[in-house]
Amino acid sequence: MNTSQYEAPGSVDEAVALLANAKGNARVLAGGTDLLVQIRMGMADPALIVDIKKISEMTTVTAENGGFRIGAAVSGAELNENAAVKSMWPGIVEAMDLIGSTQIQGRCTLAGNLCNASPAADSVPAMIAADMTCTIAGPNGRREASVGSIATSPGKTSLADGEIVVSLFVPAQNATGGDAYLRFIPRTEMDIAVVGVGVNLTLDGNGVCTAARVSLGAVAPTALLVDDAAKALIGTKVDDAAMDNLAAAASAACNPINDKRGTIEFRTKVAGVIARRTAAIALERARSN
Amino acid sequence: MTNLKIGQAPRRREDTRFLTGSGRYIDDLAFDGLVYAVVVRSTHGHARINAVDISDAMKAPGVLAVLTGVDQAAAGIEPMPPYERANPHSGEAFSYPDQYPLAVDVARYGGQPVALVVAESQNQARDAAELVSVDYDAAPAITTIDVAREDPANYCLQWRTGDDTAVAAGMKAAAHVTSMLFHNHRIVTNPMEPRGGVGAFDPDSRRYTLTVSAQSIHNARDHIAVSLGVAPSDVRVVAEDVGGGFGSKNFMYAEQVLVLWAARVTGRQVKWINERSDGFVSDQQARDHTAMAELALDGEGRFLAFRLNGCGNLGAYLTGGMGRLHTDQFAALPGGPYIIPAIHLTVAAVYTNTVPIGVSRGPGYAESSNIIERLIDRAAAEMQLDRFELRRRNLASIAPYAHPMGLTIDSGAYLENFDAAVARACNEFENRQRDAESRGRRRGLGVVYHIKATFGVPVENVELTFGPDDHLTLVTGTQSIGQGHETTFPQILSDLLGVPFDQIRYCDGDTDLIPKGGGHGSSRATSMAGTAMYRAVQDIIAKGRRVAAHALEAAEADIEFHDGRFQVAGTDRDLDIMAVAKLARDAGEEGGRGLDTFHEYIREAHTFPNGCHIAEVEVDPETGTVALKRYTGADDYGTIINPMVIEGQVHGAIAQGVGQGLMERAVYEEGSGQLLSGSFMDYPMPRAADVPSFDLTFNEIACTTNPLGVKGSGEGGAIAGLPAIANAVLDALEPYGVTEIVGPATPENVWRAIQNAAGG
Ligand SMILES: Cc1cc2nc3c(=O)[nH]c(=O)nc-3n(C[C@H](O)[C@H](O)[C@H](O)COP(=O)(O)OP(=O)(O)OC[C@H]3O[C@@H](n4cnc5c(N)ncnc54)[C@H](O)[C@@H]3O)c2cc1C
Repeated sequence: MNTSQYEAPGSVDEAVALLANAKGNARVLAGGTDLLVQIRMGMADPALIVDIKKISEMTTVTAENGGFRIGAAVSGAELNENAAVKSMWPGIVEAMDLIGSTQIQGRCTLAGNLCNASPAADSVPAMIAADMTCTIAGPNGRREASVGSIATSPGKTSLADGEIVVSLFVPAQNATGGDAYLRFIPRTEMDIAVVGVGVNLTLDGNGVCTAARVSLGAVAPTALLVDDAAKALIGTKVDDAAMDNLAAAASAACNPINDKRGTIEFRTKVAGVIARRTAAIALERARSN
Repeated sequence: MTNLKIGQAPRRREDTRFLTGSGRYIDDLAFDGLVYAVVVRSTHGHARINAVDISDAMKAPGVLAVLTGVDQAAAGIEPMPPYERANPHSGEAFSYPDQYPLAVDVARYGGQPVALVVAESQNQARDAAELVSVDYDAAPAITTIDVAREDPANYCLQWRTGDDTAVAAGMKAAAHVTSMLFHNHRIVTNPMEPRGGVGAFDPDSRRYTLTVSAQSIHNARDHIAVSLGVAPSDVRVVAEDVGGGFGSKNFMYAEQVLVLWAARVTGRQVKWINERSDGFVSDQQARDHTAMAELALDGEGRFLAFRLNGCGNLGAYLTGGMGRLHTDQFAALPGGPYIIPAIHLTVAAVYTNTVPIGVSRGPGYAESSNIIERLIDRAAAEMQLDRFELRRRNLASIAPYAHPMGLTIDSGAYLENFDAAVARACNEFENRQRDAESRGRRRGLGVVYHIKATFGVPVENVELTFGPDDHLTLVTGTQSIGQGHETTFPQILSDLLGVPFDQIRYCDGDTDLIPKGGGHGSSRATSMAGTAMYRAVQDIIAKGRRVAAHALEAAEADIEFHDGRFQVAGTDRDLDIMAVAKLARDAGEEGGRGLDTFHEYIREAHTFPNGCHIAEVEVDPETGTVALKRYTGADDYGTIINPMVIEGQVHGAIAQGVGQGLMERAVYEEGSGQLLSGSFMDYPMPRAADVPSFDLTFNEIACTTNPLGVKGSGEGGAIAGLPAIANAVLDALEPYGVTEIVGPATPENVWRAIQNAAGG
């Protein structure tokens, strides 16, 4: 590690200014559970580190339009302790809670998970299924973007130089909606997903699915929003036949790699299995809402 | 100031130190004028080394020395000798390549030391190591036993033993013969504390001192001395706290010679600490053994004959006692605790371009138990017999039992333990199975009867000294590397001598303190040092009676010893042992040694720890995930010194065994010889969530061949774990027609086995 400059500004404007004026490579530091590991391994060598944990706008969760605005520096542990978010969007909170261990939970953030742009990031499929957006601040002011538009390929994002994710917004859940996230890992804990599935669905009074979003992680260069998988559910009572179609659509959408964690064949098959199990939990939640 | 008895469970003394961060591990110790060494390792599995260019590295800041294979010859460094160089039974010499601490001309495995860089700081040494430029010509690497066997030049040993004629007759007479191929996959032991050491050289006495994280330091000293070209007395090896070894720190290593040589060259104390990634490619790995085995049974399922043709992958070199592992431990109890009248073994071991193989908890027996226990399940399936009943029918229920391969097992209650474990493990199994099925899962049971003969260095010694401050000090040549000897050994002495536990000091880990030492290995410590302590205590009591008789003006025959007091029988006149020790010392008894006693014990018999272990797994057939739900054990480790310590040993061993069964596997790329599973990203190890609470009971059948009645308790679970998991998974998957699972029961492996069975 070379001697980097470390700054911990108190406002978003200051942070943006620091990044804009940086000479050489500058990086935002949220929990640091990706960034510090990358620096230690020699994979990143920033000249400037801008820590966002001192910016109050970025460390709070606030109610907004029936949903929530989650600051970019809110840790997994804080999110897990937020009863309101957890009861409305248990899938998102559970996805976030899967990241790392107790120690990691005290630091890691949704925004960091998103901006690190790993195809296997656990919270991202859950956020995409919930149709979350984020507020981005940069040298040219603020803009909104969908969560699904941030990662462009492994390790790469659509953020322009000097742009920071300030907060993430999750809309109100439908009165009869439910969400869930499950991942498959070869170990019992602390492992990288072979496949992750986020499902968010809404039922009508007759138990017919009226809306659904299904997102898959770890089976393609970025998390996927799988329309065919959603279509398999919409208009059905989410019965076995619909579940079979969902599983088939999830498997069909996979474009995974062969590696030590899993072969293409295995990943593809397991994606269908996990999609089905995730949908079953989301369905149960929607029914009890 | 309490006395402790054998069988009590005091908390471990050493844990206060370990749990409060005050352990004295190698990287915690302070040394004067320390400099740092980094090993440059071969990046090829197999390559010719044309040249090692150190010119840039020598110019790097802080660099004091860069040592290479060329310097090694000039410095008179000799090859590192295997500890065992000939078959102990046939006398036939093992064939082995010279292994110099630094590779000369050819690198035979990825990770082999090629150069050592010494610098003022660790980072300077790391930076300079990157500047060492090695000119390699990569050559094809052989990684598997099957390929290595194609060339006779790759063999280290080949040996046939047992009764071939009787086996042939048994096979002929059999109603059924079950045969199976095995590959006991390779593991990396990964003790929590990486290997490391500090070398020092005193130019005045010309003595070397190695402070090291290792587990059998007297043996290491003797062989390090050979490689340095000096006498063992010129080398002192010291080990303070050691954060686990499990066998992987048993034998000597190149780095240990290198830091001593570097200390001589630089005139400084030289420290090297392995990174975890160094450990993966340089710690001796374990298992990696193939076998073809046949079991002949009569119509009732009685075992008639067993033929086993095994071959071990030694890696690139013959390390430590590995030759003996194949010819002794592996060949000691084939067929385990089952009565098999005719046995024949073919034993072989070959070299490959992989990290050298050493030992890891249960070596030899883990391989042989896996073979017989898997074969029995297969035979039961083929003959449509109940696999529990098949085992019962063949378990040796006699003690002593003369095993056909030569050892006599003094004691044991196999059927009793078997029935106890089965009763608990099978209780309500059908309900759990039904419940699992209702959730789309499959439950299975895997039963194993493990047994081993404790081996290790056959000599052990203890020194007991009564200090002027009313303390008794024990110095032992065994070594505690986390097992709890610091508690259990004083506990034994407190019981035998009636000296309060707090007044007994424990010392180990220094070759200058005691002439010999077998350290730690093959669950030998308590039976070996325990016997030496017991016999030393008998000497102390005999000497004490003489001294007490004199002081109490009584006849020696009238002096009784109990609870730490020498008493004139039938009177209230007595003397405390500490007082007697002082009298003896002051009177200059025994040439001034008073009651102080040294005892050397040469092993008279092995001990045979054994027990029945049963794993219950739940398989998710859609994803192949295997969860270990229950684990039941009914074990016989002889007399138990401290039940809490034994439980800890058994828990750890089970975790290690099921780790190999469920997830661990070292994988090399054929052709390049690269270790593909070279970090914890690719090599999982079991964690708390992977194992249930164990249901264990202990049947204390005292060993009849040592005075304490103890049997080694460190390895049972590591022997039983792999076959217990494999048998359980196959039981669960029986409806799918799956009959074999190769390697660990990882989700993908299990899923694939189901797909393959379904596909025909
Ligand atoms: C032991 C361990 C276990 C882990 N387990 C998991 C797991 O199970 N699942 C999983 O998905 N991940 C896992 N991770 C990865 C990591 O913890 C997560 O990706 C985490 O969410 C990252 O959040 P962070 O706040 O620590 O990010 P940081 O490391 O602070 O940042 C990550 C990246 O995003 C950028 N960044 C951060 N915040 C912003 C922002 N507001 N605007 C713009 N860019 C930003 C940083 O510059 C950096 O490039 C694990 C990591 C470790 C060390």
